[in-house]
Amino acid sequence: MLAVLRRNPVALVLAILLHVALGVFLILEVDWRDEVKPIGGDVQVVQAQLVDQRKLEAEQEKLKAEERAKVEAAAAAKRAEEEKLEALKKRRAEEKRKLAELEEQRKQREKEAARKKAEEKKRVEAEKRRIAEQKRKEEEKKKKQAEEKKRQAELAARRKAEEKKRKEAEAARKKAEAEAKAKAEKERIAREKAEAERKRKAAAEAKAKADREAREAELAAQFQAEQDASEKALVVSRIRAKVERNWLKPPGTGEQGLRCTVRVRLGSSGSVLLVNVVKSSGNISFDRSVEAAVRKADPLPMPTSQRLLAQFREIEFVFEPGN
Amino acid sequence: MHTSDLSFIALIANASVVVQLVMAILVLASVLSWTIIFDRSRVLKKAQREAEEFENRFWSGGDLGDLYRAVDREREALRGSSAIFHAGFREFARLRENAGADPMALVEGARRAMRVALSREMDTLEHHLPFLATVGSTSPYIGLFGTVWGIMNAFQALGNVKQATLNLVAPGIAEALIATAMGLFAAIPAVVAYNRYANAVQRLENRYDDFVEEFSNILQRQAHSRTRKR
Repeated sequence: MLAVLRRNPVALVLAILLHVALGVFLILEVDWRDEVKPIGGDVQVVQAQLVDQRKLEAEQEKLKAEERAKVEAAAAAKRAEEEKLEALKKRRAEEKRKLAELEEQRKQREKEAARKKAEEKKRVEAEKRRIAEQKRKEEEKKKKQAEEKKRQAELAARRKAEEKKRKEAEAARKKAEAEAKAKAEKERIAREKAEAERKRKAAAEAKAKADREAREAELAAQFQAEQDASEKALVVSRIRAKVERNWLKPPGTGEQGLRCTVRVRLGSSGSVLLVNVVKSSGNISFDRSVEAAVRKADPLPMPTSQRLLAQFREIEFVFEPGN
Repeated sequence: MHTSDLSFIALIANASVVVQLVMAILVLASVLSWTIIFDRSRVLKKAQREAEEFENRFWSGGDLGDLYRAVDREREALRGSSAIFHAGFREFARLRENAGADPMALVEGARRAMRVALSREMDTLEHHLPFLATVGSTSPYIGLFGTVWGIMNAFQALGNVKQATLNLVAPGIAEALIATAMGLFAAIPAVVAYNRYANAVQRLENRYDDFVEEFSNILQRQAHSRTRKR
């Protein structure tokens, strides 16, 4: 601690100065605390004096009050007299006012009565009017009813007339229909007759036509057949010729006049499919040569007509050279 | 009714001896605590300023040897970071002169020296702060003791009188309460100052610690580079 004081005396000085300043400040500030006490003493004194003065004042007040009471009593008597007078006056005024009021009421009543009378009159008139109105209405109603009756009668008449007309029309229509029906029947019979006639005629015609056609067909067939036969013969002869051209005479056959029948199956274009000798000539080599000739002659000539082509799928012909 | 004068001077002068003694102790404690408050304020401010200046110098990038020589010239008046630096570097240089020293040992030695310097610095900074704490915690009790004593006396005096009035006790209680007021007056600034300065010292210690670590790193780098050169 002493070291600090030695080393840093300024700090100590500062500290002491601080405290001294504080002390001085406190001592100087003492005054405000002194003021507090005297205030308490003063208040007590003032209170004591106040009590004495009040008593005195109360006494004086009492005396004054008595005097004032006397004066007030006199004034009160006078005022009572005046009030009585006032009351009388007031009552008279009141009676007058009541009278006036009664008068007023009477007038009012009269007025009321007059008003009531007028109202009664008005009411009676209104009643009369109402009755008149009612009568008028009834008359109107009657009129209306009459009109209605008339209208209905008319309507009934009209309806009857219409009914009659309608019935007549109906009858006429029925008659007309019956007539039309009869007529139609007649017509139908006539038509049927005509139809039968026509049919008969047509049948006859058809028959004739058929006969004619049959004949024609026959003729045509005949013609065709003839044509076919000629063509067939032609083709056969051509075939025979072609075969003969391709035929090589086998040696040793001589001029014996050999003949054999061959059956040939052909394709559609005339190609030779199968050849066999149906009826031999007796000479085998001749038969072979004929067979060979047929094969060689492939293709054989064919007829142009399709009809005949079928007949030439398989043919049989007699080969006889030399003629 | 002894007296109607209740001014401070009168109250204190009329107080009993024990109360006067208590007041004297409190005034002394207050004066001393304020002395220390002023002193510490100056010392801590100076330490902070010096730490800042030295760190600026240290990190300005100059040669550490030059810095050491510059610091060594004012060896007697060294404070804070510069004292730590001086101790560390001197130890490092001495150990290095012994050829073949392990770099780890070099750094450890320097670091130990710095730790010692640091703890010495902390001691000077913290000096007298406990006194503030003591004043802060005890002076209210001392004041209270004076008050209780004064009131005791006042009531004893009251017991001897037949008709008891307020005037009889009031001065005694007033003078007794002055003691409590003085105790509080001494205690409050002391407590405030103690908290403030303890915090300031703590921050300075952190700063020195950081410096020690950083300087150790630098020394370690140097030691390793030197052994590799050899």
